[in-house]
Amino acid sequence: MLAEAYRGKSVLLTGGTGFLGTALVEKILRSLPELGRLYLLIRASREKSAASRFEKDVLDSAAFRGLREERGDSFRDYVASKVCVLEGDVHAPSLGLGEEDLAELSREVDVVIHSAASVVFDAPLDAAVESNVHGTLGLLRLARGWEKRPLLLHVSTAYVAGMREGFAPEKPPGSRSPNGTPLDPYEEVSHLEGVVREVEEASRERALLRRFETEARRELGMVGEDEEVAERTDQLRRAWVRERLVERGTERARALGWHDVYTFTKSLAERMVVRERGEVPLIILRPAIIESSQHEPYPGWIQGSRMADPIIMAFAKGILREFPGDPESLVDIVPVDHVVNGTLAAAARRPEDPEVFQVASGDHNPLRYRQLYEHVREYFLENPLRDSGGRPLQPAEWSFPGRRAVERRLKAELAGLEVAGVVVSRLPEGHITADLRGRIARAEKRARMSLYYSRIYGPYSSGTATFSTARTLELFDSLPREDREEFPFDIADLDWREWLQGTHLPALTTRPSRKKRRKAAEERPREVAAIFDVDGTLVGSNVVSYYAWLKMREMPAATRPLWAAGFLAKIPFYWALDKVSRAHFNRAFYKNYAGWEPSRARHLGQESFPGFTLSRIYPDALECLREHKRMGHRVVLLSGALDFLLDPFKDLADDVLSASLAEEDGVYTGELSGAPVAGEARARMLASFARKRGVDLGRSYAYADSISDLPMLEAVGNPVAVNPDRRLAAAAKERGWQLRRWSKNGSSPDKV
Amino acid sequence: MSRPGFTTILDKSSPPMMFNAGDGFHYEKLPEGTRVVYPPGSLTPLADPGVAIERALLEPFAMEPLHELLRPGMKLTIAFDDLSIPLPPMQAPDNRQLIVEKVLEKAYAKGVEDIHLIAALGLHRRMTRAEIHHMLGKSIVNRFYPERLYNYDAEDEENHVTIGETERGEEVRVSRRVAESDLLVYINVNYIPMDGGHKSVHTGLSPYSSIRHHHNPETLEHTRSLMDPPNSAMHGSIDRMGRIFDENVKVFHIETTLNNASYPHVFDFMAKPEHEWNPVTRANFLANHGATRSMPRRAARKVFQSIKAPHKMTSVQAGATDPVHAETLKHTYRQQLVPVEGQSDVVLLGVPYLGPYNVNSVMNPLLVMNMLLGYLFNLYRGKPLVRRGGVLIGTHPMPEEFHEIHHPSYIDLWNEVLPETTDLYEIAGRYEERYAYDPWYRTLYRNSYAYHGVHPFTVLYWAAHAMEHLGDVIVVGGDPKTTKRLGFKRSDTVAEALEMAQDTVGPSPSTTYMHIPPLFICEVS
Repeated sequence: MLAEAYRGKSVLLTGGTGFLGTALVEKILRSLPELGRLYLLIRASREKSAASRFEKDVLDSAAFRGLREERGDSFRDYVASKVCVLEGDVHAPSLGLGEEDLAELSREVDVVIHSAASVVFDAPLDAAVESNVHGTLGLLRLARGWEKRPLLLHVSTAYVAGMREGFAPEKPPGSRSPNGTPLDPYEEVSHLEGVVREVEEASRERALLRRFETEARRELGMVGEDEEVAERTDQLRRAWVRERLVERGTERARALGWHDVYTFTKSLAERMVVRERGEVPLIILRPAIIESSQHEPYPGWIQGSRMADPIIMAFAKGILREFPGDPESLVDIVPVDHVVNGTLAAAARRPEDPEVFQVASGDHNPLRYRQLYEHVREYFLENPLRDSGGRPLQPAEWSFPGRRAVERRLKAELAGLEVAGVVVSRLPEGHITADLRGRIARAEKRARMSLYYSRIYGPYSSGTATFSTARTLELFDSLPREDREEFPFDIADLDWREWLQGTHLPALTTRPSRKKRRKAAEERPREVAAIFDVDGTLVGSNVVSYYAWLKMREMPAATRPLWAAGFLAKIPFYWALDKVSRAHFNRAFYKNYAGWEPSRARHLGQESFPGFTLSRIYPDALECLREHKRMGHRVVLLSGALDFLLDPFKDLADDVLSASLAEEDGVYTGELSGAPVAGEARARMLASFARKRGVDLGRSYAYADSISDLPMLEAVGNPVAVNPDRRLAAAAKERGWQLRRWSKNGSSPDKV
Repeated sequence: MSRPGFTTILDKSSPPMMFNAGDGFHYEKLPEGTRVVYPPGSLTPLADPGVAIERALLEPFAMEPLHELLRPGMKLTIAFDDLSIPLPPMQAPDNRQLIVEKVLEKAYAKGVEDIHLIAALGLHRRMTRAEIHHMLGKSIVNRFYPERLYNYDAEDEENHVTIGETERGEEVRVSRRVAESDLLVYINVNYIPMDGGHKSVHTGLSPYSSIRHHHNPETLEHTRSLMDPPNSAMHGSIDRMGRIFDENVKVFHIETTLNNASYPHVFDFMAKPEHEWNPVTRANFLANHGATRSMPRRAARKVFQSIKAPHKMTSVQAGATDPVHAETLKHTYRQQLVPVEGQSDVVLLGVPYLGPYNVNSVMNPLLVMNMLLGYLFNLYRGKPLVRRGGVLIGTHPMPEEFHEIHHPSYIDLWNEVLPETTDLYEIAGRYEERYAYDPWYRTLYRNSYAYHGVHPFTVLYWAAHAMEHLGDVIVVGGDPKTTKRLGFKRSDTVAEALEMAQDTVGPSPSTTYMHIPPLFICEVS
């Protein structure tokens, strides 16, 4: 009896806050009440201590609902009597624990279950080696010296078998990689560490650093101060390093016959624990893809997004239009409770020689991609996902053309999109262009995601091994009947269609989306902003009339009509240019300011307020702005107008983001000193501003009048089209946005 | 020596009395027995203001002569009163121009380069270039405007510093430029005894956070009167601030006084007692009276606002603020004080077209109230001319007209606040801060030509003492709507108003007509 086997024994569990770990804790507490102590090694996060992570991430998990009900008021006391949370870190020397804790572990621990791992498939090389190899070894080396010579149960993955066909036996790894390359794990690890150093050095080359800096400046635009630029530059550098390390890791893994850096490093860890185990009894447990539970803690319990889920959801959403794999290949899924029970059954043993158990389905109850596809498609045809507008999404129909064909198609599509992108980038900046660019971007995103899935998951879906589960089955059969009922892990008991459609897919689709979860989690109040365009929205004017006013103010009255006549002749040109692109218009028009002195411009700017602006301000706009102020919103003026003209507005707003002219020899050159604050640039500037100031654009408001403001309006949760031009009115109507008419003489809210 | 102010009692044969009534007049025969108090005649001005200024700068009170305070490399700030004084604006050259020119001359001679000229307008509206031009003359404006000659900006947070707190916790905050100057030369035109002294800096170069300590209902209710600084709680607060300011900033104060030659010769009927009018004076008055009645109000206003007063300088003194101001007050009282025997049940006042806050602007109903209950009521030393519980009768049409550029927050206060309450304490508690910090008013104050958002509140508080003292206020010729909103009564004629007043003060009241302008101060015994 397992309950007997664990009586008075103490277990140390790593990775207890993960998906498998949480399930293990729950099962141990529920089914092994005679256990002595359960030590949990938990790392403190930035915001939470280990104890509070255990409280929040583990105990508060839905997995414990049943146990809480069962135990009622004594739940807490019971947990406290069994569980001992140790704040530490598998990566740190001596697990980051103090003498006392270590002494206690040494004295007490009978079984170590090592379930902590980096399960990110495309983790950067350094992180994967650190977590999967060094973490495991550190724990083993420590446990070797403990008084009770505890058993180490190392949770690995069935996919350490790598990319090869045929049967993968439940045996410790040999001395070769899956494709037969001789492999010394120690040499390999030091080779990988060399790669990490090399990439880090390369990232600090001057040319590269300059590129990051340019990029940072472009992104931050006018809201960037020097430190911020420096910080962003380093972020970009680290991102580049990360990307390279992912690439290099994957490259090396594939060269040796593994799918990815995850399975590669897990295999290295296995090889090293086998060599270094000393007198410690060792069991390697290799689950396949762990998915939602079949029975316990309740059917369909799942946490986080598991391996097969993103692909299932991408399919359901219609993003993944074709499947990049062999439909007859196996998709080896096991419910989490099978893995938990297998682990607990195995960990009750103390074998002399290392033992391997594989918890997988392919051997005894295979599920093939075609079946998975059919069950999933059937389910989503009946229970379609819906888009943001509530329309049902159609899952695609897959023809399984094979991974190569799929990738070829996607690559061709991407190449086409790239050409289209280049063509569009040559077009004059404007609304049509912006629209095209949006379409291209969406198509590209879809194709890129598909290709990403194909690259990451593709190898798993064609030509993987069948994982033998003979020993695991043997283990199960060896259990007494009571244990077989209490700790079931016979995969043959599972009906795939029933489990998928009745348990797993409903669990996947009914839980809140990641966005919502994040929203709920993030309780820190982020600011709500009210963003106002100026010309045409707040003030019934435009850059041209401003210029004319300023110019004429400085002129003797007699020459004004003459100048005005000449200036008027140019208006049609400017008008046409503006229709094509606001950014081009701004650039062209601001040349008129060449040669002006900044101090004179500032003074005229101030005079323009009482002399010109004041009588053109829309009272409704002002009321709206003041109302936002009263509600405590952050009022932002975002305008393509020049800074000196907007200066008088600075008391009305918390921030004024405007354009400014470059100076040379004390006069304006007529060139803008940054990008024109129009179109996409405006949206980018807003996004960067929101990031920096902690503004929640989703809850923010924006008011604008022109089609060139569309990207800015699209960026916020509450867009309002004010006195929209024809094209913006159409766009606003299509999106169901609020329309308002603001005039010099009161308002009339336009019903949509 | 000019004629002193005097009092007469009207008899049966007395002529009708003229009243100022905004942009027009009122003309009515008053009952027998009415006491009329007339202003003193204009003092003889200084023969040569230039020489007098020179002497003042050379022989200052309790300070070294100005030229000894000047040195190369120093930071010199010259601040001057804004267009709220004198009234009406004086004919060029203004006293301020004469003095600034002299000060600059000395500064140049000593090699001072860092010179700023600041119009000390406090929470008043900015002056336009033309207005500054009129005040300081072309040459100064051309040299200094706009970089080194500018309007004070009470909302430029960064450019202010708090230099201390009085023993009563009043924050002393002033313009940074002023606080950091090696020398502040303040140039004042003293029009009424309320002005000048420490008030110049602490209302003219200080922001709301400081001004709020003395411009509030409590302080102003205990300001008895505004024209009598030793008995004014407002001046008490300002003087406390002044002591702290003097410890931190070196101030060379130059004050001037004027005679009361407020109107050009064509309006000689204003200052001339009716019984001395000859047929020409009378014809001139009647012509003016008729014209203002038949003209559209805008046109009449334009005519009135174009008046420039032939005021002349009667004294100039310089040096440390306190002794200078004491000397100034002596000269002001010499021109303005009229002894009057005993209070009256009812006091009649003609409200003129102009107050400190509607130069080149519109005297809106709030400003009429401010003029009548704030300034005119307070023209006393000792006891108010009207007895406690008495009735004040003013003549003014009080149209519901506002200057949209100059008085935007007045309009909102008028429409939003006054229909709710006329209780000054309630108004202060519920609304003041919101108006004071409103971003739009702030924008208009700083960039347009608007009075500060909180200014109409201080204008109302000015009436605190009168509202607490008076039994009733009647506005002859007042607009029914505006008078009602302010809690006043109205009548069409003075006779009718006197009838109504008896409901408050009883039958056969004593009545005094205080015949202004020019303004003068009753010393009531």
